[in-house]
Amino acid sequence: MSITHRLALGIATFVGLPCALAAAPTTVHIAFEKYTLPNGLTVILHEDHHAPTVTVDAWVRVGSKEEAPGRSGFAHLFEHLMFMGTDGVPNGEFDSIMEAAGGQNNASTSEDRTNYFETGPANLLETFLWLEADRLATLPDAMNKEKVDLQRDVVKNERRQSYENRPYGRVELQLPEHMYPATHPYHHTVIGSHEDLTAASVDDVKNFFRTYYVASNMSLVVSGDFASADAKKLVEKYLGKLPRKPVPAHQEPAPIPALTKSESMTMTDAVQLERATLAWHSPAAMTPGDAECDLLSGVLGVGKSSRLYEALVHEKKLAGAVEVEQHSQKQGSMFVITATAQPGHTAAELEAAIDVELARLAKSPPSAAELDRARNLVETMILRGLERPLGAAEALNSFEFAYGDPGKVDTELLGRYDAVTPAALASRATSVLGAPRFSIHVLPEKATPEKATAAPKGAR
Amino acid sequence: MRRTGLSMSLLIATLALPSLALAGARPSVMGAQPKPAPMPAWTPPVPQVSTTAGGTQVIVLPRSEVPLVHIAVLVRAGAESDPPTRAGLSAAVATMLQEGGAGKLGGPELAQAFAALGDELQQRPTRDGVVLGLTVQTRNLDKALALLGDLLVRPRFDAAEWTRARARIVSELTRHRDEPRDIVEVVSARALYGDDHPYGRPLRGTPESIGAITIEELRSFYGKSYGPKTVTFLLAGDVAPAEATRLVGAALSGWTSAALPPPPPATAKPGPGRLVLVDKPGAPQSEVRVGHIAIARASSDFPSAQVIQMVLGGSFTSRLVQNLREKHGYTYGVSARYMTARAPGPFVVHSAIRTDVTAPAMKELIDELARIHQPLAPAELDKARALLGNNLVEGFSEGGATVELIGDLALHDLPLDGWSKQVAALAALTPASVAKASTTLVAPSEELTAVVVGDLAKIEAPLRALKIWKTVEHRDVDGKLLP
Repeated sequence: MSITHRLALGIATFVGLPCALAAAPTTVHIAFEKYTLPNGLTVILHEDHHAPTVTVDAWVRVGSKEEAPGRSGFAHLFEHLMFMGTDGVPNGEFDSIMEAAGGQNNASTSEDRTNYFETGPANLLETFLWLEADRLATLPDAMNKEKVDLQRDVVKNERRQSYENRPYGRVELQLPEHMYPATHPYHHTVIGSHEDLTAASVDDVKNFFRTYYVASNMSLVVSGDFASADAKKLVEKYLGKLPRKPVPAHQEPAPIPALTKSESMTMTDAVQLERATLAWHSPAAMTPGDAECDLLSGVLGVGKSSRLYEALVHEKKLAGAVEVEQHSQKQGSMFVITATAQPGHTAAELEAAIDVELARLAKSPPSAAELDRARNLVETMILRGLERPLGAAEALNSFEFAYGDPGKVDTELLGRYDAVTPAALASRATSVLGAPRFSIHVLPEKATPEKATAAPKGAR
Repeated sequence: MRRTGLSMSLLIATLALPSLALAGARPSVMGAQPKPAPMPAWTPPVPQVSTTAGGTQVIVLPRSEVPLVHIAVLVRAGAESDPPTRAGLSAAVATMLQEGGAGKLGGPELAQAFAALGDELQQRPTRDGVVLGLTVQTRNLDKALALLGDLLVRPRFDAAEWTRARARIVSELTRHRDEPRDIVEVVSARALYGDDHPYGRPLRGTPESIGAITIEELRSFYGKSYGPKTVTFLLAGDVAPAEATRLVGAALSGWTSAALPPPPPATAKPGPGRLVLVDKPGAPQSEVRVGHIAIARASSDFPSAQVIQMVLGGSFTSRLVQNLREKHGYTYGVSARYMTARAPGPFVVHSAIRTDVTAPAMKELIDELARIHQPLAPAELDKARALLGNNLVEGFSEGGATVELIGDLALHDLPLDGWSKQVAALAALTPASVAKASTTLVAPSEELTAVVVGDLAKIEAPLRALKIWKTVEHRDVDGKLLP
């Protein structure tokens, strides 16, 4: 699964001048200027003067789906190595230069793309662009085995912390392998295997950089408190120096994967409570059906008024928690339902109860009121994201990435949810959830006496 | 992600302009390092306060960039008020305000009503109070406040709903006992504060303490602790102060409870520094917390504490991150945090460390804490101020964080211009003054308590061999001392 938050909903976005009309859909307008440098770099400027801060957000069109065989986890390891210094800005100084003046940075990698962002006081815009351009121009020249070894260790620690030492964490590592055939770019996880991380070499780093980290494979959003004319000069002064190179070949769109029949597996973990995870293939990010699946996840599993919560947690008291997610990805998404049992109940009971609800979904499709609730929850989450300093930048980059047109933010960010009807939701529920699925049951490693006694008297 | 584990809630500012660090000896191909222009002046906004006819404080910070209003209701009845055998009672009461139904609506209908307005009502328990949080589009503000009024003034506490909610909470808490990150928090609090201080008990309770709570106990706690004078409404966003006060007043009209906020708990007496071990056989990492009882939120040393946590573990260039992650590769993340409340709260360093290097990483960690007693380099102090300053600017630029910042002041009985005062206090700090404050803000090595949840067969002997602690304890996942 993606290391980053999902693209469609969890992202932060920011807004220019939205207006709320009573009883009418809320609309969003993010003003921007987009142009392309002679070296192929896509630049998007968004002025926002409500706070004296600036954000630089670079998206590179490369993710774990571009990784070579035997190099799972490499795109993300590479992301870490981008901070390990150059001849002109040696290791440690990328961070110390900007932090000294109040700037901060981070980065993330998903199946489909990698992003790097800096936020800070508005007077740091030139510093951010200088630092970004410096590493994009010269990173491989100063790369060595010590740097790769160090970040390899850090990333392996990340794998342990995020998956291996977390209850149920290995479900996320298993799911892609079973959902996608070995030939599919999503077959392996973004975090990668220990073995493949160990195999990564300095040459791999240099080759990956030369192939994918080229101006024509990136979009750069500058967002915040600046004058566009000034920002243009600075972008040209620094990023304009990057050489023009060919657009890299990307992972060809793989055939939309489909499970030919439903399958399941059982695994054990150091847990007391059983868990059932069910996954279906679903429409790709920002393609028809993706928004419906987001809303369907809301109807089924977001909040205490959702169907699965109401049935499994509230009514039947089988589950302690239910989660439903449309995990949107560029070449095909996954729709995932996860339920964790209350003490004394089993994963098999959970799956059977989910099936009852899915059958009910087919018989009594989501009502207009259910759709409205799901839509309101989604829209509030999006608008909340829009308030954050990084928000506009991420919204513009994600729409540039999906459509080649950041202007689609105005019509699609909320509009693609406004357009969904109860009939479309019902039809999508049938086509996605009626297809074969993969399910994982997690059972406690040992038949624990605690399991039987975990519920104190009076609890159930 | 490049990083997790670094606390981003280090929200204090000063806008003194530090000089930039200098890049390497060889010039960048991009030319000389830019010299930034001075920062524009910025000071934290101060919210407006008014009081409804019923005596409820309403704090408003208007802003209109996005058609949203962020609402936080601070209820001055937090975990500090839980009876010793009923840890989690205050959190359970807050949960049941919604789930137990209110006015004409049962629990499920109330949840539907909130969802229809665009958000799930969140309950965040803290030591000092419970925060009910909600974000709605401006057009739904009146309905949202009316619903909040219903559940505060007319909660039903339906018994059948408590039976359901209790089973669910018990199963959540049971799940937490499998999660090393949750275990270490529970054990750390109990090891530092003991069984007799409220800060030693888990905020959300244990399966046993929640399982024992009856509907009568929920109603009684509500009756004693909830009233117009124990709740404060915070609103940040697209709303005018007068309108907010009018709507809150209407929502709470007729509420007559005489409940008052409780006094803060007594200051806890610190125990000796110890090594506390919890066994998690086969764990690939050790969850580590190292700390001691430190300061209350209102302490005059709070600005120095903010600097120290930033310098130790608040950013990529912080000392602990540079040492444990970037120099040694022992961990993915490490952070330091003063968890302040009305009574002195703990200072805690957090990390998850690869099992086979747990002892050497612990040694580095403890040595870094000892080094903080030497005066900071002026540039390091300037960096901390700059980062804290920018965090504050960014925090006040978004509604959700704004509500948290103001709520932090209100919950701790601090004046609402507290952030402006912090800015001034930070600007006045010197390396010498921070060093002086550090003698109490970071305890000497022998007074630090280290809690480690990990594979003891592999880590216990090497940790003992460090000979840092006179006392070594074994505890279970609830923090109960084992023989």
